[in-house]
Amino acid sequence: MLRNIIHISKVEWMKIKQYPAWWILIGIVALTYPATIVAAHSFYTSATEGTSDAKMLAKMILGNPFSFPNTWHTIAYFSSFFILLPGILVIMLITNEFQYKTHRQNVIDGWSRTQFITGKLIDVVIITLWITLIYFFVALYFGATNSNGNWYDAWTEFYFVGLFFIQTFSQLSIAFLLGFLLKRAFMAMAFLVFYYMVLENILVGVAKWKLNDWGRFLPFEVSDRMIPAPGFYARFGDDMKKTYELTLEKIPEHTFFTLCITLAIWLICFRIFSRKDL
Amino acid sequence: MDITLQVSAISKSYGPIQALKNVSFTVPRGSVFGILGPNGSGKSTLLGIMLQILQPNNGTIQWVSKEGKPLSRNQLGAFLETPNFYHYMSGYNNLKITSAISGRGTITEIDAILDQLKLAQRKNSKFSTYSLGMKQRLAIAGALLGNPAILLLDEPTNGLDPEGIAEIRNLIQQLAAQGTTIIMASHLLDEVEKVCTHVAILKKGELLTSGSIRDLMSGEEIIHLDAADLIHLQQILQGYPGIASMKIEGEMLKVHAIGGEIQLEEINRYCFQQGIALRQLTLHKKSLETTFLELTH
Repeated sequence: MLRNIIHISKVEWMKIKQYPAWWILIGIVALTYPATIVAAHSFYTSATEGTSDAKMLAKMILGNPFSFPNTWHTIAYFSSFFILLPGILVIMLITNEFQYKTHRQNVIDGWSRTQFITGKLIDVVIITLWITLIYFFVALYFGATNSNGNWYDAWTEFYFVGLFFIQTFSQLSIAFLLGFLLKRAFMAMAFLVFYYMVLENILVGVAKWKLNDWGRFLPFEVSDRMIPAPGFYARFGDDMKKTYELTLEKIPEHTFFTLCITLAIWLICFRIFSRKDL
Repeated sequence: MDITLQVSAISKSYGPIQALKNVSFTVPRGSVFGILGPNGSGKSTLLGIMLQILQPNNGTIQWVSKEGKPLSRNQLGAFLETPNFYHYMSGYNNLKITSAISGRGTITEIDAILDQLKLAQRKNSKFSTYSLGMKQRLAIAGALLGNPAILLLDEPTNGLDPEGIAEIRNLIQQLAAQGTTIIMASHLLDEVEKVCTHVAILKKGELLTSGSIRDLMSGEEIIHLDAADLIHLQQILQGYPGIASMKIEGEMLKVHAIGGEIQLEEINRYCFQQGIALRQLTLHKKSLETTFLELTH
C-alpha cells in the first residue's frame, strides 16, 4: 500500500514538476497569501496605532487579532478567501489529463483506474499541504512579531492549522470534482467561480430566510463555518458573545459534515472512474 | 495451440448502438494478429476492451503468460488511436513517465528506442512541437519500451511517410521473428497482408471470420483461361472436379476453383485431350483485399 502510494506520488511529481502553470500558480499562491495578510495587518495598524479616541476605541474593540494565539484563527480566516487560485490549479491538473487523453494512456500503460485517481488525490493533498504550510509560516510570523515576545499561549489555538488543512482540502476537492465531471478547464473554472462567488451565497441566504438555515450544509458554506470570522464582535454585550460562542461550539459539527462531504466527493470520483469508459 | 489472448463472447453497446456482438476468438502466441474491419466495425472498441479502458457489457478478456498464468501488465506494450502524451513535456520525459507507470524499460533503453525510431535529435523538444509522424513514432517507442512480450498497436502507420511505413513494417517483422506477439488494427490491407500471420475480420460489430491468413486466402482460387471458343471451353469444363463456378468475362473464362484442388498441368492436358488448345492459363490467388471486400459487402 505505502509502496504503491510512493510509486504514484513519484509519477505525479514527474508530471507536475515540468508543468509551467503549476509553478506559476504555486508561486502566485505563495505571494498572494502573505501579501493579503500584510495588507490586512497594515490596515489594522493604521486603524489602531495612534492616540486619537477613534483609534483607541478601534484597538479596544479589535484587540490584536495578529498576536498569539489569535493569529492562527485570524490568518486562517483571511487566507480561506483565496481558495479560487489553487482551485484553478487543481482543475487544470485533472482537465489536462482529459484534454491530452493521458488518463487513458496511464491506464493503457498499466495503471489501474484506482491508481490514477489516487494520483489526483495525492496532487490535491500536495497543494493543500503547500497552502497550509504558507498559512502556518505567515501566522507564525505575525504571531511572533505582534506578541511582544510573549509565546506563553502561542499554541492554544493551533488547532486552526488542522481546521485550515481540512477546509482547504475539502474546498479543493470540490474544485477537483467540477474538473472531473465537466472535463473542460474553462467550464469547470467558470462554474467554480460562479458557484463559489454567487450561487452558493444566494442559496445560503435563501435557506437562512426560508429553510431553517439548511444552507449551512452546502459544501463551501459548511467548510467555511469551520473557521468562523474572528470574534471581536463578541465584546459587544452578552448576546453577541453568545452568538460567537455558539459559532465556536458548532465547529466540530461543521468539521464532521465537511469531512463527510469530502469523503463523498472522492468516493464519487473513484466510483465513476472505475466504471466509466475512458 | 499456445494462446496468449482469449476473447470470449464480448459484447459492447453505446446506448442503442451495438458496437460489438458476441465476439470470440483466440490469438496464438508469437503471431502477428491483424484486426480488420471497415470504419465503425468495432476495431478500436475491441482494442479498448482488451486494454481495459472500455468496459464490455458481456464477455471476458484473458491475457495468458507463457507460463499459463494471467499476464502481468508490464509484458504488454500498447498504443491506441492517437498518441497520448503530455504536451508540455519533451518526448524523452514522456517516455520516462511511460516507463515509470508500466515498469518497462530503463533510462538507457529510452535513449536506445528513441534512437531506433529516429527521435534522438528531438528527444528534448516538447511533444507539442512534434509533427504527426514524430508523435506516432513516439507512441510506438512507448509501446516498444522494455521489449514487451505482447504489442498492441492501433493503426501503427498512421501519419507516417512511405519510408516510415516501410520501417515500421520491418520493425514488426523483426519483432515477430524474435517471438513477440503483435496485435494490430489497420485499414491498410496491403500492409496487413505483408506482416500478419492471422486476422480477425469485423463488420458492424460482428466477427465475420478469424484464423490464419493462409487458411483464409486459400479457400478459393481463380483460374483465367482463354481459347478460340470460350463457350465450348466452358461446356467441356462442366463437371470438372474442383470447380465451384465459371463465368465468361470479356475474352476470358474465369473459373473459381476450390483452393488447391486443381492442378494447372492437369486442366491443360484435359482441355487438349478434349480438342481445345489453350491460349492462356493463369492462376490468381485472392488478395486479402479481395477476401476482405467479399466478406464485408
